[in-house]
Amino acid sequence: MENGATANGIAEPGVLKALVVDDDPMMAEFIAIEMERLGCRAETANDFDAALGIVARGVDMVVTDFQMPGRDGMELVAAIRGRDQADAPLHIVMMTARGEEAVIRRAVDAGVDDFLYKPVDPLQLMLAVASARRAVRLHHVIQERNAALASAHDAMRDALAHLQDDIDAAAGLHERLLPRPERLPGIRVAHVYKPAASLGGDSIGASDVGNGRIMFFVIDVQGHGVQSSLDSFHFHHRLKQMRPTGPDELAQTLASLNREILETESETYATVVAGLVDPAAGQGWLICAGHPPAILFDGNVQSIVETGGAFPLGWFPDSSYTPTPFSFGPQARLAVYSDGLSDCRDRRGRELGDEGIARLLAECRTQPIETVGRMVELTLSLRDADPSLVDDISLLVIEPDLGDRQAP
Amino acid sequence: MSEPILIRVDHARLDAAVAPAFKDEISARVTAGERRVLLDLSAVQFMDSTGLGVLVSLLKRMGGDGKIAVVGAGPAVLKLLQLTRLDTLFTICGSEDEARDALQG
Repeated sequence: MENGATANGIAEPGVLKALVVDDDPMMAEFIAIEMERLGCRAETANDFDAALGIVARGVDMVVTDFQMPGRDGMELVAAIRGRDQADAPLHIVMMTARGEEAVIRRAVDAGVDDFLYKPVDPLQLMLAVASARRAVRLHHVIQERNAALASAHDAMRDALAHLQDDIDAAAGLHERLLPRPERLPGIRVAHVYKPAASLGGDSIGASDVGNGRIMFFVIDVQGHGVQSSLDSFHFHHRLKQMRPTGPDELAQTLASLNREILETESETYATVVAGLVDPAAGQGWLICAGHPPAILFDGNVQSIVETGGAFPLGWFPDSSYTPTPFSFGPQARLAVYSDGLSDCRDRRGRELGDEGIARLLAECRTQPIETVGRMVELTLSLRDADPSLVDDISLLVIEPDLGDRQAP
Repeated sequence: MSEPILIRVDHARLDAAVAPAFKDEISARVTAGERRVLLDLSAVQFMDSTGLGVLVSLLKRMGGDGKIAVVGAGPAVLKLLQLTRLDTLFTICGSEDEARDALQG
């Protein structure tokens, strides 16, 4: 190739494109011939403008005289170094007389790499060419690596974008599991769902299991991220598939899921609060498996549904789960949540706590249920917790909706 | 009777960031068939689900007749142990002496 570089940008060893600048054509020609003998392709120029013109076409090395009529070697070096292609592989050698130390210092500042003393000694010239060849080849290697890095970086960015798309799609699937009020006859429902990252290990569910009963649950799978999220997605579906219609079935469902998790022989586990409500009959049942307790209102009277607790799902094969009955009359409102909500800290590092949640729910007791969700979201947004401390946050609030039945 | 194995957790937060190292330490120090472990959680101010999972794996590692006594459980840790009923499997003690006595029995 013309400039001594192969198609992939690596200089062929031995072929260095050089320019020799001297106002004395004979001297320029002499040095050019010496350089051709050293394996270079050398051109000559006898003044500033001609030299710059050839440099613009691309050379690897310039050997220039210092003293020239008009614009001298120093100006030529400054002009070459001042071009836009600051990283062009250009090695510059200046020819000076011995003893011109001040000139040499200025020349180094201007960007000269090497010096030749006049009269030019062929051995000195050979050393200068060898040095230029090494510098140019090294430069080409660096350029090639930079190109490879840039290309790898682009590939990584594309891969990351695809990955983020996948994660967003998965997060979208999780969102679609959230309770749909129109599919839940007999109750009104509100929820707050805030995964710590795009994908959370929490899952909120509510579904119509028939016979006028609704199953509801909050699952909190250990850890965060893709694995927790997939587990939580799966456990959500298993609970809905098993479709318990009564308290005993609900207990069996959790016991079955407990065994299923253990059979995977992973170390995953989940805390679960799960319950059934029968709005028409005014009753409900609740199981807390390693999960924070539920808060229940009957009118303005607030209480905690004391279930006695149970081990999380996925720890021990013979864990058993006992449903606790509670009253779910027309004035009831029940809230279940993950510990990410109670652990949520304010700017001073104080946790919201179970008491904080209870207080917040009491404050909006007389508000429509939709307002509860908005109030909690507002409270959370005012808390500016350290993002690294943040856990997935889930809250589910339900209350009977007997509107049609009570209508005259 | 030989001394129980003393495991002192030096992290203020026993969470996903330190759980793997903590688990490795347990694997190295508590060999299969070990019967008694004294777990000092005085330094731990916060424990997350992953940290709790390591405690459960310790329990499983020791098998059915292993005994774990916990000292220095602060309010947050204690709440988590109670919520998950692990307080029924660990002996929660107020001091190291009390824990050693509990492990002798």
